[in-house]
Amino acid sequence: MPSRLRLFVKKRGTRRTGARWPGMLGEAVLFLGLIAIGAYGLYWLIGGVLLAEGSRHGWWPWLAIVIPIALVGYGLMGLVLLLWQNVASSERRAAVVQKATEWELPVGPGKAGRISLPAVPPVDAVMDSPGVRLAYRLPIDAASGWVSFTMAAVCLVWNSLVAIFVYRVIQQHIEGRPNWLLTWLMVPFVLAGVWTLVALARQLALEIVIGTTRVEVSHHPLYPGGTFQGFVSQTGRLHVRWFQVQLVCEEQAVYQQGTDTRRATSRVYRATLFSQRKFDIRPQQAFDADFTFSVPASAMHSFVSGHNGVIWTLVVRGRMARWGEFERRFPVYVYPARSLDTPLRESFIARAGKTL
Amino acid sequence: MTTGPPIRLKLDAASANYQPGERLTGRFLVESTSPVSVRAAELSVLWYTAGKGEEDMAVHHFERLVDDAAMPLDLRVPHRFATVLPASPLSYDGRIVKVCWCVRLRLFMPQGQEAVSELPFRLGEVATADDGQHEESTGPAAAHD
Repeated sequence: MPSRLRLFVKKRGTRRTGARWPGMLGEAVLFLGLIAIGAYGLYWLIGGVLLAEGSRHGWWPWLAIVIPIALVGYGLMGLVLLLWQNVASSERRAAVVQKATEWELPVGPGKAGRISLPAVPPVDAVMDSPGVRLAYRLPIDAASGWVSFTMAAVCLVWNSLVAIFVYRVIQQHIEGRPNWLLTWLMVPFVLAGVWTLVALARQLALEIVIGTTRVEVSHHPLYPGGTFQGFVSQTGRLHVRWFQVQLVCEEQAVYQQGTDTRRATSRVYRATLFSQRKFDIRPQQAFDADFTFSVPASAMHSFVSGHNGVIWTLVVRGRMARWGEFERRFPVYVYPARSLDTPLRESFIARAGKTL
Repeated sequence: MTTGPPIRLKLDAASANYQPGERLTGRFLVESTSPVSVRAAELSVLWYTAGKGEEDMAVHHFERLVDDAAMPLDLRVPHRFATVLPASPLSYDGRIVKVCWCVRLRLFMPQGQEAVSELPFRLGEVATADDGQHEESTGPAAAHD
């Protein structure tokens, strides 16, 4: 059926129900418009100010010239990109990108001779940190640190703003001309500020009281069908109600919904590797435990691309008396089993060398 | 967009299941008795993602055949292709993420139209998320107070 012009089309992320050409035309007009405005701005600044007024114009035209240059540059880049997208197929563009970045080589020796696979995250972050009991100490997922940082930032900004208004309100009361409407309006804002302070204090106390969690593994990268040794160590002064170590695999997908970018997560595998109930951890004696775990033989390897991923993690979680639940995540990398097979690996590396 | 001559794209192997490091070979041709005018043909061996997220794609092998006066492009004659498959990513049929491999042939016709033919295949033996990889949630129920 021939496509016809429709004013309203449904857009689902980058997929759309309408024809592509009106959008491309619109983009081309926009970029040409930016180039035209930038060119006119340059003409006016150079011809009408810089050359016409001699040295009387001062320094401002030199600063202002950045704006039309930016418009012309942005427009030209957009136009070239648009032309390239329409002249070349998506496969040809991907092939050019691959050639330029050498990202998609079958396999190549990574840092210190480590294996490096397409669309599989590198293991350098884990292998650079030796363990005390086992070969590798796993780095903690940075997300938990960001929670404290974000809470601290929100608390600081919110309470600083509230403090300015509270100071003003108190000053009015001292001067004998109170503004009661503003005073009562401030109450919920002050309460919210107190709540952010309490939440931050609790988060920091949780970080301090629970202490350090250390996880080590005997091998890295892991591979499907393999059995590995693990070790967990927990410090602090705690009465533990339950404590677990789990191996978890999650799929992650980033997608557009309207103008929002959203992330969906689906847990596809979870196995409890270690579990213990009701015990105490004392500051002098860390809680240590060994465990053995396997990755299922038919499991998907770790995978990462622009918007999609398969993430494997060792999760330490527990519930402490008075402090509630906590969870700490330690990413691990599962490589395809055959990529660790020595003859195949050597043949790949030799072929990659020839390609280069 | 996808109107064009009948394309025949075929893999040499009987099954469409391959292992990393294996050699993938095949051929393509256009089934026509009269000469078919094509500006260019692009053959790619590639993977792409499907599912909930935005699509990601990477090309593992790419060939572009161009019709020119010195060497006219006759697609009625079978054209062979071959590549050694990489170690990753393996084909995967997950819940919200899927990794699909295929051989894709794109023909560029003189009037600006394009014809696309695609032949999917599997790389590796990863189980689907719903049969091989499941939740073994023995822990929390036993551990929670």
